[in-house]
Amino acid sequence: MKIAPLHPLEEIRLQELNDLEILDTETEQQFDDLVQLASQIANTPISLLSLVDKKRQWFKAGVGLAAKETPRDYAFCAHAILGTEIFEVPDASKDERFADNPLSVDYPNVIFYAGAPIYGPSKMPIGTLCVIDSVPRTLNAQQKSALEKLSNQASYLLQLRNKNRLIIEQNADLQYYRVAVEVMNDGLVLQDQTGAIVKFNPAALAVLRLTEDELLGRKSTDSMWQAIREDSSSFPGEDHPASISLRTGKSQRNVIMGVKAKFESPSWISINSEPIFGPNSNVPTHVVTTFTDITDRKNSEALLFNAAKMSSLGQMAGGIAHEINTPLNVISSNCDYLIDLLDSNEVEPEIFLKKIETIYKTTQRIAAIIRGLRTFARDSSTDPHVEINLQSVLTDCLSFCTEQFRNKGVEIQMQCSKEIYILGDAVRFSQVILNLLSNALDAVKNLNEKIVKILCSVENNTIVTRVIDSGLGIPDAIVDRMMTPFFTTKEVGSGTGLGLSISKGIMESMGGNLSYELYENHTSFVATMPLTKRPQ
Amino acid sequence: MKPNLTGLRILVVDDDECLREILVEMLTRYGAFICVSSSGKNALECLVSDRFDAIISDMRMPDGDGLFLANEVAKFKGHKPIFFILSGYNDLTPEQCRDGEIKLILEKPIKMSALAEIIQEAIKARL
Repeated sequence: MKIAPLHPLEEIRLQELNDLEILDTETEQQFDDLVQLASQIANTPISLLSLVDKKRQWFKAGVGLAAKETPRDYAFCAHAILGTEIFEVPDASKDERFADNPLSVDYPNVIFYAGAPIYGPSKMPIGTLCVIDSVPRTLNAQQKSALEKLSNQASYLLQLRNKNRLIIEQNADLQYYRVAVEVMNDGLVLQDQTGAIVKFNPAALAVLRLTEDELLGRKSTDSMWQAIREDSSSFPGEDHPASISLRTGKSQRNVIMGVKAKFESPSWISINSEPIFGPNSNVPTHVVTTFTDITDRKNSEALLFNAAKMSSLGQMAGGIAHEINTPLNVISSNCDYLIDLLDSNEVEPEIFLKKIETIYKTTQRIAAIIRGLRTFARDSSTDPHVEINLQSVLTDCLSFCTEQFRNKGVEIQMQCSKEIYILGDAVRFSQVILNLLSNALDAVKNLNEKIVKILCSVENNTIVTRVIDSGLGIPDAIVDRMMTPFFTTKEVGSGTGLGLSISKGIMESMGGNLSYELYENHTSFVATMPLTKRPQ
Repeated sequence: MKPNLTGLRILVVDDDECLREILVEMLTRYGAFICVSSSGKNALECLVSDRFDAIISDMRMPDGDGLFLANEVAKFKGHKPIFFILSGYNDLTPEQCRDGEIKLILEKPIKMSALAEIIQEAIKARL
């Protein structure tokens, strides 16, 4: 017996067979019909649709044979797949390749065999459609032609079956994606080439707080969106990520947008846009946009910022209460006094006038305190930067706190040329200086030597303002932490409430810096700014 | 009925001149004898030479605050004036009040008749 050699591309052939996922499957009517036809046309008791596997041949369909498979070594079909024509053995008993083949010697007594190869999708011969008889014979030309055509049909059916199977798999994938899109928390919209929304998922409606009718067909450029950027400026439709993706064919990632639509407060979303191209084209036909609702995150950021501001206000509250309640007491006591005079019929216009004048002056005192608070609590971040005379800003700062310094017996000195100008925001720069003065005052109030100095100079094109106190430096443990937000060593109410971290931020926003150093062995904070005008 | 502080000696301690002035005028009308000080340390000097029934002291003052003064007075042997804090903002703990023998913390702004009545009641209770 001669065992058939392996196909020259055996591995690829086996791969193709396995990829069909047909081995060991149930019988199927179409294949059964084919072997029925083959057996009738060839007039043979047996016909098989045999698939030649690595170690066996397996029958997808068969008539006249109960076995589902036989070893490959005995398989006539293993020979048949090596050629392109019909492989015909008229009498196996007289053929040296098959004479002692167990399939020929015993059941099912394969004496006559004719098999036509059948092919997979990539044209590898994966098996045969064959007819078998137990007596020697041949096929006539018509029968051969019919067997060839039937084998072509078998190849075609196999490939069709495979395509069907792949489509079913893809449909399952599609179903999976469809469900994912339906249930995901992120909004998803599909826009066509004109920018009109053609598809969307339920989350898109929820996040944008719109109905289906309000969303469908809407373009990015529609005036309904009322979109804004993080700085509250308008976010025009042409600049939306979807519009940019459609125009440029480029992806857009993590773009933050506030969408007001018909509401007062915006839904904040983080957007990704991805263009979709037609076949062989670099012009997008569609754009897919997904967006995550970050409204809660934005709101909690705002709350956190506000809480930080309130915390620093809280630090000030004690001081403010004290400063305002005392003059309020002056007013109420003077009122009590006037009422008492009226009750006792002691109406002397001169005394009345004097008391009313005191009351009036005291209201002015309270107003001044509140004005000062407003000036320093107000958000001047949008004020344009202007040239400011350094000496005059520092003088204003000093006048604001001279009283406090005098109360605590602290001497304050200033050296500043009147020719130095800084470019920046006077209110915020004052906040920094007052913060430094307030810290210095706190640092020296319990020392024997109580001196705070402000020294200004121009060094290497930099304007340097030093606030030096008579303290002997700050412990390393505090130096490391003091520029972090809301770090404080002060008691409640004894600060201006403006942390060093804020001061540092202010100086940086004006192109400068704030740092700590020792100046002639004394504690010193150095605020630097770029030079705008040299002292003449 | 108008409060009557006749014959009582009261020391008023506050760094605010306007407030000191009106407190003197008003409490004098109720019949009290009033001395004033602008700080805790200054008040201590008055207490060396004079005897007072009550002290009304501000909390936050340069040169010896209200708590400093209360603690000094608490150390007196023999007669001690009744100690009131009159403050715009107070963050004293109950322990600090007890140790400083502070009778009451009054909040600014306060009605003059109420202040006088509180002093009157406290003196009466002590007698």
